[in-house]
Amino acid sequence: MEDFLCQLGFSFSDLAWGILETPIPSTYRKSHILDMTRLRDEADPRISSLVSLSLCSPSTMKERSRSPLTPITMMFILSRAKHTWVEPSETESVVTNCQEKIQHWEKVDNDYSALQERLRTLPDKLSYDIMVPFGPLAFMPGKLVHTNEVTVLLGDNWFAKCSAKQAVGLVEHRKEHVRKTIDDFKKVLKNFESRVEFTEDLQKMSDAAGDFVDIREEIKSDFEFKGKQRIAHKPHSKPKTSDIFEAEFENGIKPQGTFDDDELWARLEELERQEELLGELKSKPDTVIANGEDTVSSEEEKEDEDTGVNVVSPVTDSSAPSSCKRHGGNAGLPNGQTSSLNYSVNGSNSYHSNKEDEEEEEEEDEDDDEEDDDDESDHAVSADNSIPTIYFSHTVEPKRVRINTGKNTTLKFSEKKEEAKRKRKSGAASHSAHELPAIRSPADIYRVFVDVVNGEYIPRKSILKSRSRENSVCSDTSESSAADVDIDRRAPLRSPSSEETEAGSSTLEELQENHPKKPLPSGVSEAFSGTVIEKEFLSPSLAPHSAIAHHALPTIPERKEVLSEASEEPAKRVSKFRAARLQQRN
Amino acid sequence: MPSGGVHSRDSAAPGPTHTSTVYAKALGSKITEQKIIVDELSNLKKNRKVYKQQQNSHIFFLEDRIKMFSESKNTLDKLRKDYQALENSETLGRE
Repeated sequence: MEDFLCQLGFSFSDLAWGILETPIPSTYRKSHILDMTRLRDEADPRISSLVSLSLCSPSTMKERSRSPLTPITMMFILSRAKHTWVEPSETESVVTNCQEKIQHWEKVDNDYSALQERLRTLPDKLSYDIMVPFGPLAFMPGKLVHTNEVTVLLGDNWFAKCSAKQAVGLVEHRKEHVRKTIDDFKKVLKNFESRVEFTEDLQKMSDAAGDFVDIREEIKSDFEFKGKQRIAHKPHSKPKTSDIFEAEFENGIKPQGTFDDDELWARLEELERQEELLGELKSKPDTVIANGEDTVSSEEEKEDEDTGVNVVSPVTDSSAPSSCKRHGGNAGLPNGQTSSLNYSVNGSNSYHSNKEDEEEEEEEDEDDDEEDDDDESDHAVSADNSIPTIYFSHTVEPKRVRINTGKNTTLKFSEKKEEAKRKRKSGAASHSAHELPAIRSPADIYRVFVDVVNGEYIPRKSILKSRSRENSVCSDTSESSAADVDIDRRAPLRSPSSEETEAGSSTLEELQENHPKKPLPSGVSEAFSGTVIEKEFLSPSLAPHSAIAHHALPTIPERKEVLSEASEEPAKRVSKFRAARLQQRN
Repeated sequence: MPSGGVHSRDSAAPGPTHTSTVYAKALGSKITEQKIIVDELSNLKKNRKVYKQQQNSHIFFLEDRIKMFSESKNTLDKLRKDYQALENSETLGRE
């Protein structure tokens, strides 16, 4: 009974109110309302449920349906019950199941009573003429003797030898058990039968009374639900990104946008120079730098970077303006000088310069010196044509594309240390410039939100997630975003050279992992190199903005190709830069 | 050899079935069964032995033919009465 009510999901109060609110003949109402009010006062839900049991047990329900309880009340109860009502078919199956079981047990009981009867009369005679079963099909006549001796199966192939009378006692005991079981089943059966009847009655009532409408609320299907979710997701994500954008602007980088473009231009040039250098180095065998040394040095670098980050990170907020000033100060220095200058600064701030770095740098410097003539001439030309510098965006864009395509995950930055360093330097100088152009397409947004996991850049699945804020290169402040861009820029450059060993590359990866934070300090205090200077020289012009977009788009596919063909990249790149430049000049 | 063995397995009254229709069905089948038994016993030669199977086992006890005949007759009457009562109750219920 109790569980019946539970399954119905009636709370007592529901029932009570359902009945109270409906017009009931006064005699009927009185007694029940009294009951209910008394019960309502009791806070204990168990008690209330018990009471409701007494009020609304299936049998009483049934009675009520015939009693003057109004149809409305019944309908109310029905509608309440429908939510938790066990399916009629289910109850019916339970009923039939019970019936079957009861039948079985009654047969057992019957058998036992027959056995008991036989045992009772067995000792009456000394012997019985019987047909002895000889297998399932054959019989032979025989005599049953020792009529007062029986062996009783106790279970599990254990037998007890006893007299017929004792056996009768045992049978009686078993019959008791059987009867108990039958009673239990009968109870269950009665319960469910009444339930079935109850529903049937209600159905009859609802059928008979056509005036009453069954109020149903249909549950929406899963399909609709899914659709809704999708729709909800998209609009959400967009506004957020836009918010972030605004935040960046607010940080005051916007005014520097023009400035940055110039910087970018300068950097671009530097990159070009690097690539030329790279080409030379390539021919020169990079393997000259031993793998072991390489790795060590890169590791050291990494450590250095870490320290650098720790030291300088607090200054980040004020970095943007200061960096600008620095640019101004450095302006006009030739490349070689800037590099040396840069190193000295690094050394003082954080132990950035290791021996190897220096050595390599020296090598580079030499190379630079050799090439300086060409470069400088190039610079001069470019300076004249600085306005079309659009290139910057061009270089940046493809890199972003790479990261978006998930190249980061599989990417091994097998690049020379020197290159990395240069990028760091030059990147730091120009990083602030990238913020405005940084996010031009939806893809760029994902670029900004990149998580660094185990030294790899893993684009976030959702921009909305603020997960791993510490690790992420997410751009809360303008600087951090700038740093991110910086990283992006470097990644593609490093990837191309397959000459370096994997060990070196892996360490470089780690290095990059730390990068996101590093560029800030370097940018602020140390790392500004000749690139900045060039920028100052080159670009008082703000024109590049418009051009950037145009150049960027077509170049992207080419970049992708480069990705696939890592070994051929350096040459391609150089040609690209050159080509771009030529274009601009024209 | 006893050729005519009477196997009155369902001599005992059936347990009450819960649905009236099911009960009536079972009752009807039992009545036909019992009718056959009575008929067979009545047509049996006098020198034949009659064995009755112990319920739920394969042992057949030798019984007296006349005794069995009367017994089976009684059972048939009883069953018929029951069946009649059931039918009456059903008709009453319908009315």
